Amino acid sequence: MSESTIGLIGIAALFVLLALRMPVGIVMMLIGGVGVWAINGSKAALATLGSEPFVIASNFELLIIPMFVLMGNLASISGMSRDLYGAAYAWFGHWRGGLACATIAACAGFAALSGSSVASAITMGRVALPEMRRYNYHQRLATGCIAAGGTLGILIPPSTGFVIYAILTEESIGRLFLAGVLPGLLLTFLFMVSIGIQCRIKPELGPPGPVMPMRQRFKATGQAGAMTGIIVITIGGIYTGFFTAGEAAGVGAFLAFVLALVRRSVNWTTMSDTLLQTVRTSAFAFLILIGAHVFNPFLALTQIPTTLSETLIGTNFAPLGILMILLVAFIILGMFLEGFAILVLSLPIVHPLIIELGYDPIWFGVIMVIVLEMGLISPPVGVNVFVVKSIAEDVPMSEIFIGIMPFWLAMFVCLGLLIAFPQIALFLPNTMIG
Amino acid sequence: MERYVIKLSGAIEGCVRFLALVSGLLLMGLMMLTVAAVSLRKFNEPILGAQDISEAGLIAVVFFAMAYSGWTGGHIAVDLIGNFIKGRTLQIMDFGVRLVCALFFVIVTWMSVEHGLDALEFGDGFNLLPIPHWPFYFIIAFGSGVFSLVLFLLAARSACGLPEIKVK
Repeated sequence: MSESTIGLIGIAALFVLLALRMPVGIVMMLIGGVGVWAINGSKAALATLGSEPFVIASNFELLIIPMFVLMGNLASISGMSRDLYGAAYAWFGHWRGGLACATIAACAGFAALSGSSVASAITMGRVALPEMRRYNYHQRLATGCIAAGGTLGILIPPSTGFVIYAILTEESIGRLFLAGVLPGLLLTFLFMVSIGIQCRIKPELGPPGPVMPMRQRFKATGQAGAMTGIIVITIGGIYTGFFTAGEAAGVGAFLAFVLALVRRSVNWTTMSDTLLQTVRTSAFAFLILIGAHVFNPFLALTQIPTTLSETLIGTNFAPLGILMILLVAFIILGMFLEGFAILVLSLPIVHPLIIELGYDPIWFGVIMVIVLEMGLISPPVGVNVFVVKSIAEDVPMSEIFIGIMPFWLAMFVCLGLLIAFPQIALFLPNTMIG
Repeated sequence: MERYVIKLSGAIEGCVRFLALVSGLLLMGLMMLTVAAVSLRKFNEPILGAQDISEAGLIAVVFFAMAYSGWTGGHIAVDLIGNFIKGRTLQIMDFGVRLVCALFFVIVTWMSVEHGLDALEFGDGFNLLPIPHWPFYFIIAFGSGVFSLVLFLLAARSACGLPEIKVK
């Protein structure tokens, strides 16, 4: 049996096991191990299974994952989400649809502390939803903006999506973080524009709140100062080269911990819950990375990525055409597969192809993360939608999905702008890192 | 059978929760180490081998939490079929899948022990500090072993028709 045939059988088996609800990390380890066994024998396969867990779990760069997860979770318990929402509310609340805009702005701010979309959606949803209900916001707009705003968590640095992309493609985490800043702000702006358009067409969707006096606005902004300080120190530290991304994560987590202590939000119950939640999330991320590092060598042995890349380039499609095919495929996959699963499963095949086509891999990382964000709010398995549903139990799923559609279109526009103007993503990393 | 599985579930839950808390406390320790290393570096007093300690500690953080993540359903799976198949069929399917995963992690445990013994024999260690690799291979073996146990127990729960574990 040829190596390519073994590879195709392996990929088919992978999808069958995924469909049978086997955890993604274990599927990749299992198929990778069996595949290497079939091609290179049992000794090579068993050696890979014994060595990769150590290689990945002792990778210093990956310390960034649990540290940033910890920082986000500590930020949640310290009440920073309320401060953020308060500040955004003070400035935008009196607009038509202003509370929804405040939710998006607060989500963007929280995204700069948390690398997880789910954490952003839960944290901001608990704060923003009761307020929007109080001002009779339509449940579609209220739930849709929380689900969409939460997705900013994996685009605005720190982002676990970028860390996993960087580790799998050996790109720089710092460059990817920088590349995510402007697209993150652009998407925040597009989400707000989307809210503005919706409320102009149907004003009853988001009635305006009370106008806050200027003094109160500045006071609310000042209350969010501690959070802004942490963002400036951690992200600013990376940009200025004061410390590495991994060290920034540790320093950021420490500052969030100190703030939580100062605010007396730390007790044994909150702290143990925070730690359990942090290590639970981190362990699953590491299992996926270990799985990817067992699966990817198998895929490389089968020559499938090279063959596919040569075939696609041989079709004489324009690079943009191939990119479009890939994006459509990712958007469709995003409707059925979890985002990280798509990332780890597709990157070994897609990353060499993208480089072959002459695209910048850092720019493509941003594009992929936005596509993953679209998957997070796409039916039928959009994770953020389920998160919002858990907060707004009385709102039917169909209503949440309808509410999400305008934001989904905004993401589509953002993708289009990034494809037309790659500088949006590349400007900061090229000018600040070179 | 069901009674024993429920009893064992209570015991294993306490065990994996304790291990995960140890993992979390170790992570807090690594956080402090990072802050100290960054601060002291600025005063030209870098901590020798801080990276080695972090790498070694990270192994313990990850593998002490692996079983807890598995027990509480933290390891992501693609739940498409759950929309179409329900009840006993789904439980039988979950039983099969979890059993395969558990057996697979027995192999991972065994291989980690083998690599640990090799590292002990050849004296492998970290870069700057004289920390040997072998204890950390055994930590991986231990974490994988407990994860395997959790998977066996989850398979047994599916076989008995017991409900899924929810995060507290």
